[in-house]
Amino acid sequence: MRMIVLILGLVLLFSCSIEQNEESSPRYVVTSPEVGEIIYALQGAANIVGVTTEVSYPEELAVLPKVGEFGTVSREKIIALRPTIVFTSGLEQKMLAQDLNKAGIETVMIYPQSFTELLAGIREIATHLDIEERGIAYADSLQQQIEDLRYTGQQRPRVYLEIYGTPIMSVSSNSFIGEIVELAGGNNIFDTLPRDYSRVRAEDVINNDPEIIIITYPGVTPEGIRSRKGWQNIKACQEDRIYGIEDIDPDIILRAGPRITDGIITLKRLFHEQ
Amino acid sequence: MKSRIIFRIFLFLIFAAGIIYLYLSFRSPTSYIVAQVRFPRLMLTFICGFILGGVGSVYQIMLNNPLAEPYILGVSSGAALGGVVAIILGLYLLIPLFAFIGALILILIVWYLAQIGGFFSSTKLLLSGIIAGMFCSALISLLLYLNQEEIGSIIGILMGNLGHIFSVQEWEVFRIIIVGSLLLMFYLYTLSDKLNILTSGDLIASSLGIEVRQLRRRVFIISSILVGVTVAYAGIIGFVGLLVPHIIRMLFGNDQRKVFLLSSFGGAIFLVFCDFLAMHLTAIEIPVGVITAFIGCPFFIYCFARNR
Repeated sequence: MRMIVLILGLVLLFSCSIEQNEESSPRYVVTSPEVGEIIYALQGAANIVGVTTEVSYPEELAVLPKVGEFGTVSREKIIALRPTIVFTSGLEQKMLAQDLNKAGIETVMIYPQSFTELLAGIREIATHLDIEERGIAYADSLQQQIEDLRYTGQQRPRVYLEIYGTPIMSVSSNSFIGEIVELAGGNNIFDTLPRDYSRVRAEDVINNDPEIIIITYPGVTPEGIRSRKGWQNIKACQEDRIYGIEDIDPDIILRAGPRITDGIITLKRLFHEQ
Repeated sequence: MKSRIIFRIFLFLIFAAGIIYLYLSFRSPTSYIVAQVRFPRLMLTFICGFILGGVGSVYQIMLNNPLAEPYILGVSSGAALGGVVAIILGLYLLIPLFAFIGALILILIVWYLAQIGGFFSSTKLLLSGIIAGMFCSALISLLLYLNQEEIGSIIGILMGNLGHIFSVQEWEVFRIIIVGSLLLMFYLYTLSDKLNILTSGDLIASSLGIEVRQLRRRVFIISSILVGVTVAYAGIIGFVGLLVPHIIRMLFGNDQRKVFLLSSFGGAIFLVFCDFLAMHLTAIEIPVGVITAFIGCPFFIYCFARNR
């Protein structure tokens, strides 16, 4: 009798696990905002079941269940969502990917640092979504759009891009945002820096006399920049060409995602409108 | 002996002049840059080192503890917490003000804790300061964890950042702060004689007519305000206030009047030197707190070994 109960129990257990395996539609958790935008552009967003709070665009993704913030993702919440693939980013999320792998969950790290890596990232994501053809086509069309948008004129204003204020930090032309500045026809005053995103000296900004200043973080006004000691003689301050987050949504130039085209169009307008 | 001390001071003055010249003229900047960018930074660095060195020497005597340093009574953590709150609220321009208010609140708390039980002693002051400081540090860690996108500014406060960018109006205010700080430092200097007597013990000092508790209170309040100013503008810069006074004592003896003056100027020049290295040693500026430790520790060991 005991034997029969045991066998029945085992059969029941087995059938349960078969049932779980039969659930076939893929479930994606996305912890990086740019990957969310890419999957959306590839029309794969219907299978996303969880995101981090930073995934704020488009609206359809922003309302999905949250698994934490970029740097403090809850492992438990991800596991509870029973994802088939978790798309992670670099930086702090490398640890997250390791933890999830230990729990037997497949992760894909996409952390594009340049336009070329963005195109490669799109193709890789498409492969994992089983829509490889669409991915290649989309990447090609994005590349074409960028080529069409590239500024070819001779007027390249000197641009200072400030991504952080205490201490002041800027970007080199190797960074994604630096590439966008060059594509839009700006001449980045810090085109070579020891790191893609790096602390810079105030005196170097003043010496390079930028014609345009772009601020990509909140909490500072053009008046605040102008009132910095020694910055009054900078051309951008004298000609009132300091643009903050009210003038350009930082997400479209800081995120290596499909909205790169919006970023280039907006920057071109700011650089060449006069 | 006397001629040796004069020779050492002479060497120090030459070194000081050289390093200030280098600080202002390295990579031949225009005179506009020197006046608008480098000179304000030099003033900030100088006054911070001046305060940290001098206050360090006073604290070591006042608390009767060779490990005492300007941050030991928790003021720095209070100031840092104020600064971090300003950062999280997005009020970057008000960081110094918030930091200074944080320092003042912490001074009041430590002051209150140190009087519980009806009397005021250096042990209680030390314990209250350390406890209040630890509590603030825990709060900072929590805020840091919850606001990782602001990690750059918060590290600037915790590891020292002399690259504060002044606005034109802020610079006017800061010039007044410099004058006020120098006056307070001068007042601390006038207490040197009493502190000298305090080194022979509280009992002897009281029998010689010194109000020991009142002296400690005064020194605590004034020093804390001064330290609050440095953390507000430059963050927490370790080692200056601990090492410089000890090195000065090894080289020039224990008379507090001399030690205070030399520690202040020594701290100022040491910090200018460290900040110069922090700016130019590598392509990216290194936090100055790292340099002070790198230079300070080996030099301290050298003096220690020679004086044994």
